[in-house]
Amino acid sequence: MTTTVTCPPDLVISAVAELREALLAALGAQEIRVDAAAVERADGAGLQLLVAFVRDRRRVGRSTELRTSEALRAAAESLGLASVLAEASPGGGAA
Amino acid sequence: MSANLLSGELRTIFIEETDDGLEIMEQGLLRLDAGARDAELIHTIFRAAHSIKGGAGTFSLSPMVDLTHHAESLLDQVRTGSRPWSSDIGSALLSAIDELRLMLDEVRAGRDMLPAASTELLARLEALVGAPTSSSDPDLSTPGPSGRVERLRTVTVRVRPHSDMMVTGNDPVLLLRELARLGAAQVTCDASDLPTLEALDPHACHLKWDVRLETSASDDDIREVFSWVEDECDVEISDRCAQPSATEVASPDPDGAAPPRRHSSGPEPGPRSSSESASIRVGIEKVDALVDMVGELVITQSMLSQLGRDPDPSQLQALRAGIQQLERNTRELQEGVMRMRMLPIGVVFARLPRLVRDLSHQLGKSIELVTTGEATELDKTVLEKMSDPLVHLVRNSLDHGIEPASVRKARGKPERGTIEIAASHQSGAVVIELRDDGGGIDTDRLRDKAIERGLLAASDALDRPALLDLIFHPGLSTAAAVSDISGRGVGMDVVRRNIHELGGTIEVESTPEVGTRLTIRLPLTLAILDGQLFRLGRQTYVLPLVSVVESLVPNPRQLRHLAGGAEVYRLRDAFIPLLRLRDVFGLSDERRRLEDGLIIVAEGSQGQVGLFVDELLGQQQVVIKSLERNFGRVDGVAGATILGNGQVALIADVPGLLRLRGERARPVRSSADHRAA
Repeated sequence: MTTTVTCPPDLVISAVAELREALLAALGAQEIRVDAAAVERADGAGLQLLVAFVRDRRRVGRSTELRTSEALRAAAESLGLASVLAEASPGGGAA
Repeated sequence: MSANLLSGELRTIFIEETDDGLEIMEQGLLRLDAGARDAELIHTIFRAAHSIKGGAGTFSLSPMVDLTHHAESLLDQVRTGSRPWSSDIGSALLSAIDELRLMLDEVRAGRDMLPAASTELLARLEALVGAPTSSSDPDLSTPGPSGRVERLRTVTVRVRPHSDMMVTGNDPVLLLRELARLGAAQVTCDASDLPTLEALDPHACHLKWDVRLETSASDDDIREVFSWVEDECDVEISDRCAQPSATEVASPDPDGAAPPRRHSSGPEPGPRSSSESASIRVGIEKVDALVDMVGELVITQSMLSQLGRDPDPSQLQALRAGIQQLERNTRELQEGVMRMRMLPIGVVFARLPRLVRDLSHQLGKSIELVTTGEATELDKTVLEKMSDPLVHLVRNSLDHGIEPASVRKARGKPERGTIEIAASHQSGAVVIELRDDGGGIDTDRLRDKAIERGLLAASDALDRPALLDLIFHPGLSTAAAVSDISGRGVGMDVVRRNIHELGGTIEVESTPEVGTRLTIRLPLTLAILDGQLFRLGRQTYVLPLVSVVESLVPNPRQLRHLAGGAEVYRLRDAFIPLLRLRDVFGLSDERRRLEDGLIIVAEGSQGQVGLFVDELLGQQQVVIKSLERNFGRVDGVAGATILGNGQVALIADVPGLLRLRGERARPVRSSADHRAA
């Protein structure tokens, strides 16, 4: 069964503490889908959290399916993180 | 620009004088802004500006001359009364001072090719003067603003945010987007410092960036992008076209220990590693006193060497006297040298009026800052490390402490809030007290938050001081709305850690709707302390002499046992808590009889405490070695020292010992145990 963690529309610093808890709880699951398709606004804190999660998953050899929104991709682009997230997105070739 | 003139002594004098001049201007402008209308004050500011312009002109630092000239023209109109003072004028002039400081930093770092002043700022000043004409200066034939060179170049901008940058409301996404507007940007993110999700403090910034930028913008324009975050982010620009070694030079201080104004300085040429610690200004009378002491020392030395040449047993008495004199000389010299490191705390206080002005404008609050005890001296290192925590605490008070005017009115308080900061010497320590007459700390909400975060069980009963202590816990903040200024619960734990690292303590008292008081106690100096040596088992320990009140041979009949295993000792008319240090340091389970040891009565932060030790040894000065740097932080121990016989002795820390004792009963662990992030 795929565990789904849904990101709030505002993936910003005020939301990261809560989201981190949710991601931590899901970290050990076999298959995870992080649904960020509804993200309208993402800041550095939000992206940092996602990167940490994707990387932690990769370290234990598990894949993460990440659904991104246009806004999220744009923010990742400006932080030079587009490739990290693309790797986890469908079509981007999951690790 | 014949920049080579600006070298050596002259450079140092110019930098110091300009620093002073800018300080005078800033302080003066802040007083004008606060409503002072003193003709002499305006003259003082004008004169300071004029001297800076003159100095910069002598060294052909055109951008500096140009900017000061603009500021001076405006000040001249205010001085002659042809233009009334307005806070717009104040803001523009303060911005000019900021920019001049940045330029001065360039000079300090050994770069003589200054970037031109920001055209936006010049235009702002010109608009205020009301004469947007040429900037030629009749009494200094220097070129006007040097024209921008419109050619594409490739630079690498190294962006190193401090961990608290995002917490202050600054988003790297916006910053880097802004940067990318200046040209074609290629952003590389370095996530190597990013901890695992488990250890991640999601509010702290762990990422770093290198941006390769192809642009026609000047370094100044690039820095402009980061002007809002100069305190929270180190930015370094290296030019691809310049000598390749420029990128090899060490990046700026990564932990942000240096005062923030200097952060924007880039790589420095040559061996000048840190301009911060390069020099210290010492009053001439302190130096004269040292010279006198050295004179004494020379006399003693010649007397001793005379005695040494003629080893006659009858001279033994004279030899002893000579050695005693040498000891006295050494001690005086040592104290004299230590005194040179002492600086008045006013240096740090001077930063605060500007902060209060800017923040209260931003928050729409009216706040008065009162400082006392500026002359209180403390060690330069302590002073430098206290600067940022103090700024943080004042920010907190402004943001969370002082209520909005409407709330204050409803509570029957004056609309204008007050923040008072007082420094003083109290029994061998420096005490800094920070009081505000704001809303106080809501312990109920603090408690709810702590329960919500799982730091506290709902059934835990904590007294008010213990609840207040929670504000120092990482990740707790009671602000109802998170603001851009402070309040994501990151910070107070860092403040406390900084103070602990200096061997100090911080305590909080707060009364709802009345206000909050923070008391910081700091050691006078870090390096040397007068110690009382004592023995536990086969180990020697040191207790700072300032905290020793007396020592006594205990009488077992005066010992009382309390519920929970605690012991108190009746000292004359009062009971003091008794700590058996053997137990505290985990030396042995064997319960020594009271009559076999001694009690040292020590002054803790909350009254006296009895320390039960095996034996008292002598008193001597010890050089403090950091245990934290060489080993790790140990509660109850302030550091270590090496004794004359080579043995290592731990230096006991009375407030720490009391905390150790108190924490056993408390459900919340100290922040020192939570240093994960």
